[in-house]
Amino acid sequence: MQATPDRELNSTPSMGAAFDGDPILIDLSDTESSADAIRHLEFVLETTGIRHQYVELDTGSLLLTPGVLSRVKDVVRRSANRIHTLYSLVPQTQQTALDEGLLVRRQPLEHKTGVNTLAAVNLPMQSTSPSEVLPSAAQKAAETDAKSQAQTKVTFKVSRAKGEATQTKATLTTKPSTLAQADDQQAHHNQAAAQSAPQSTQPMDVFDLLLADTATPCADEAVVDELPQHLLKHHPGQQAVVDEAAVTRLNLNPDMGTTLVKQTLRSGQVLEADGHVLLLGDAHSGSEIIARGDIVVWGVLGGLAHAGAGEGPMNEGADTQAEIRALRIEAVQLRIGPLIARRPDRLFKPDEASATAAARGPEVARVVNEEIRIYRESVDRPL
Amino acid sequence: MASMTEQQPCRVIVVTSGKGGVGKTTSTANIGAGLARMGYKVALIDTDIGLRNLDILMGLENRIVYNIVDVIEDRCKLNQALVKDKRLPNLCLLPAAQTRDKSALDPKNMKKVVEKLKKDFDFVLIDSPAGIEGGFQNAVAAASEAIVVATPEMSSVRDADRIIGLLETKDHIEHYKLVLNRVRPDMMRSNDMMDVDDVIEILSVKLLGLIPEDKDIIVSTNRGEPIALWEGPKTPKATLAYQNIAARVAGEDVPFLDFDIPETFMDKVKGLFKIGSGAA
Repeated sequence: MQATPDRELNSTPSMGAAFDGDPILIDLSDTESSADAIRHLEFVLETTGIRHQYVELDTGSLLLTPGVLSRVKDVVRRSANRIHTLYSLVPQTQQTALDEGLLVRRQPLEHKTGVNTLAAVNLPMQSTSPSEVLPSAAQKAAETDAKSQAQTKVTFKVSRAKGEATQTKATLTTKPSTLAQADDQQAHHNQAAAQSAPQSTQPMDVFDLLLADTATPCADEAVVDELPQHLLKHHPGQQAVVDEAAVTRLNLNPDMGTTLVKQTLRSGQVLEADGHVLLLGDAHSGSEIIARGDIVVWGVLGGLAHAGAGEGPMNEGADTQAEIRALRIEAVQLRIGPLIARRPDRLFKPDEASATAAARGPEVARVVNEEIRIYRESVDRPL
Repeated sequence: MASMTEQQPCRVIVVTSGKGGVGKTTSTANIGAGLARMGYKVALIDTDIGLRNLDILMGLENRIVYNIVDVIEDRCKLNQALVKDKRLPNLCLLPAAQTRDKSALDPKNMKKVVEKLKKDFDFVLIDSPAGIEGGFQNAVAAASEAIVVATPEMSSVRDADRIIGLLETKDHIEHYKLVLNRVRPDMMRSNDMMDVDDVIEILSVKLLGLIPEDKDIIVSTNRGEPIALWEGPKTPKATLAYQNIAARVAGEDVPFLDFDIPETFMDKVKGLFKIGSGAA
């Protein structure tokens, strides 16, 4: 599937003008033919004058041929906007859109799910900072007061299910600030939902449910969200800095604390911890990370990493269950428990490496059948 | 391969220069590889603790498990720390520690390590760090011969002179010889670079060999393939130069290379033109 998560789209720098703000949903599902849909789309884009926005198109049960779809894309592009998601109930249309590299979903969520679920769905993003949601929603509401004129116009066809629609968007864009698009009353309603949410639900379950329904590439996000959560389970909240004096030894309590380090680990620097290690940054060749537990590197792992390290020269208590994760594993050596794996002598040329790197997902090294193997996290297939 | 039948005493040679970046590590790797290529059992020791490079030049970085500091601090046995070369079974590397500093070594335990290595090897080559402080003293401590590496530049020659002065104060250094690196015959001819004879006169030292400036050396260090081991129809001059130096170290009488001989017909034509224009 070629569709990209919206986060990535937003961060692409080559787009010139900033595509900011939340996507605007344009409902074309009530149009009678694809020609009608294009006319309608042109009309909406022209009259509202929105520019540099992501738009979501609900095409309902319309059948869009590749030709029609490329005309639709043209229309949106000419208005200096960009298609964010295409909703379609028709399998052929979905396939066509997928081939075009669009993000495809069956339908805006309000059509099929209850309000309760939707309110809970906001949780995974909000639970990290529930306090921020309310001010930002209110603030954004004030900010966008003028803008809301245009936005109301755009969403005029949606207005029949306005509250739910806006909530849906909050889910899809992972931005709670979409709440602002609702009117005052709706905003209050959402605030209440957000407030009541934290104690009521298990976010991951809901997320899974959604995935099953929509079959969109949110799977990566789910994994990403899960990662810190999983670590938080045994997280006493240690943050460390590896100083210039090369070796930093962190002797935490023995029951597997997690050490969080935010820096680039350079050649000669050693990060040694009694528990798990979470490094936010690259680990360069010549550096060493040694942990009794797991090692997670949010960056490129280029040095030596030893997870599940035992004690003393005999490596007592070495743990082969430990894992090493990194966005990219280029380690000179990986050690898990008593096992050692070394990098192949012939490496990719740098340009080859970067070409394949773009296609790679996060990687994990673990012990399978007494040997260390590297798996691509999302695919779970040996490299 | 000329295998050593009769038991020769092991020779311990330190490769040093004073100045950094003149080719100590490259020379250690290639002379070592050259000797191993001839069939001798060779151990290379990297004493540049904290800034180890020899493993990268040898392409053995990913094989290092223990290092010389682990040996000294008794975390492993000596033969556990020795990394066997991936090409030549009779070539070994004792790597430096990357995550420690020079204070982890001292001359006494350096001697101890080398003494153990002497039993199993024909040659022990010690790669010294730049400078004249502790690291240099450690590297020299166990050696009985020295190879001084210099380039034909004033700064390098000055530092080499200082190093030779220090070597002369050490009674255990029986003799030392010079390797002149990054030689550019064309620049020497046009008097843009110090002449080989000038350097030898300034330093009043015996010449072990010349290494021409060669971009293939950069390729070889990046690839981790010592240039002395390159094979094929178009081996660079530096390959032969290092092989010759290794042969001289082993005691063979090899004539010095003449880098001035034009290589190809086109070079000859160009050479003719140069002479012609010079005469006119």
